[in-house]
This record gives sequence, structure tokens and C-alpha cells, in this order.
Amino acid sequence: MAKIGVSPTRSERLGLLAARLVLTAVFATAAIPKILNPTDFAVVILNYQVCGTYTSVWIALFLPWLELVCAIGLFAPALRRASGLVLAGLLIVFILLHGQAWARGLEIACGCFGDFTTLDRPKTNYAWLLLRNALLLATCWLVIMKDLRNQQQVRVA
Amino acid sequence: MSLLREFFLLGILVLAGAIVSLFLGWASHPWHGLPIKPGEIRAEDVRGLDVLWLDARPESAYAKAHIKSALWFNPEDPEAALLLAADAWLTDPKPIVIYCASESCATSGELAEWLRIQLPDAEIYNLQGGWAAWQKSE
Repeated sequence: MAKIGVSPTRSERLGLLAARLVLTAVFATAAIPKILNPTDFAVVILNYQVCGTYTSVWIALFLPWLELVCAIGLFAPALRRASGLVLAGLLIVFILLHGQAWARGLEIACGCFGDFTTLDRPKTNYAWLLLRNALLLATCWLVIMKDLRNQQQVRVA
Repeated sequence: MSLLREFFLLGILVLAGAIVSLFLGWASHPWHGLPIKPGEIRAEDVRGLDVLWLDARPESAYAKAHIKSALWFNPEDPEAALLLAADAWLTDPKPIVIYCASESCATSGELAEWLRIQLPDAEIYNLQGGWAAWQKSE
């Protein structure tokens, strides 16, 4: 059944706003230390042992900005859908990266929020990282679905 | 706005951000690779050289695999490990390169600094990226 003209309820709007705020806060918080310390972040990427030094350095330059732009983009109508899709893609990549690191028994820093070393820190808890990213992915998926549905309703109207 | 345009706009903004990082000096030029810190040496630069290798990873990791001819340097008991390393170095003086598991492991960097004090006449380096970088460079 078409939902043309059916506006979301107040609780739906609040839920969507909360989801966007959570995603924006998480990704902006994650991006800023990486933007300020790209060399340390490149080392963290290198430690995942999935790419070489040069690739790590390039990723360390662009990835944090991608996270930050997409985090802010969730609130910008001109960037909303693409931002959600990119963030979902990033979360899938992160889940795969952590999964392979866990499977290979790598004792490395996550690098997620500026934790660039395992020195003086407890061991990386891969189960928690996977669960956290899965929850964020589910949140991201809800936001994407809502945005795409809104876009379809606008087109039909 | 079409989805393609949204992606294009995202790309432009990300590129602008990366340029800001380079312009403000937050990031070094990526085409130069990973900046090397004082006292470090890259795996590709040391490969093939005649050096005294010291492996500062846990014993289990050393037993599993290590750089050929590397001596195990117990980070838990550096005093005892120093005797072995000093003996090897005095027998056949050559540059010493110490490594641990990976770049995020700071053990080898700290041990390299400590070794420079203990063996002031020795030329001591810390392998950038450690065992992980060595394997990558193979």
C-alpha cells in the first residue's frame, strides 16, 4: 500500500533524529583524531596486514575526511542518502577487517577512536568491536531506508 | 538531487578535506610513504644487509617464526637478554636491528633506546613496522 501523504509520527521522527545524531557523533568523534594524526593512523591500518605501506598512507589521508563529511552529511539534504550508504559500506568493511584480524589472532590497536597503540591498554576486544559495528550498521540501515522511502514519496507526490 | 550527484559532492568535499590536511601540514605527502622516525629503519632498507637481529616479541611468536639468525630478546628480562646480545655483538660487531610484532607495539622502540645506553658503541636501529612490516616486504 502506498504511503503517499502519510507523514511520520512524532516518535518516528524523534527516533530517526536520534539515529542520525548517534551516527554523526560516533563517526565525527572517530574521524577527528585520525585527521590530526594521519601517520599514526596509517600505522594502525598497516597493522591489519591487508594492504601495503603506501596504500595505508593514502587511506589514512582520505578515510577520516570521508567519515567526517558523511557524518555531517547525514543532516544535509543534499548529501543525506549518499552519506548513509557510504557509512554503511564503511561499517561493513570495518566488520570484515576486525573479523579477519580476530581470525588471524592479531594483537593490534583498533584505531577506531584515536587508540593507535596497544601499549598500556587492555587487549583489543574483537567481539565488542563486531557487535558495536553491527549495531551501528543496523542504525545506519534504518536511516538509509527512511531516506530512500522519503525520496520515493517526494517523487510520486 | 540524484544519488550520483550526492556521491560526486561527497567526493569533492573529501578531496577538499585531504587538501586541507596536506596544506596545514597535518599529513605528510602520501607519495613519500610512511614518515620514518629517528632511530628507525625500514624493512626494505635493511633487507640483505649483515646485521644482528634481535626479536623482542613473546617467546611463542619467536618460536613460531622469526627473521633468519635473529636472537630472541626477552623483553620481560632485558638484563639477561642484554648479555646474550652483547656477547653476539662483541664476537661479531655489526649494526643491531631490534623488532617486535608490529608498529603499534612500542616494545622494540623502548628496548632500542635502552640498548643505546647499554651499548653506546653499537649502531642500533628499530625496525619500522616490526615483524608485520618484514613479512609484508617479502
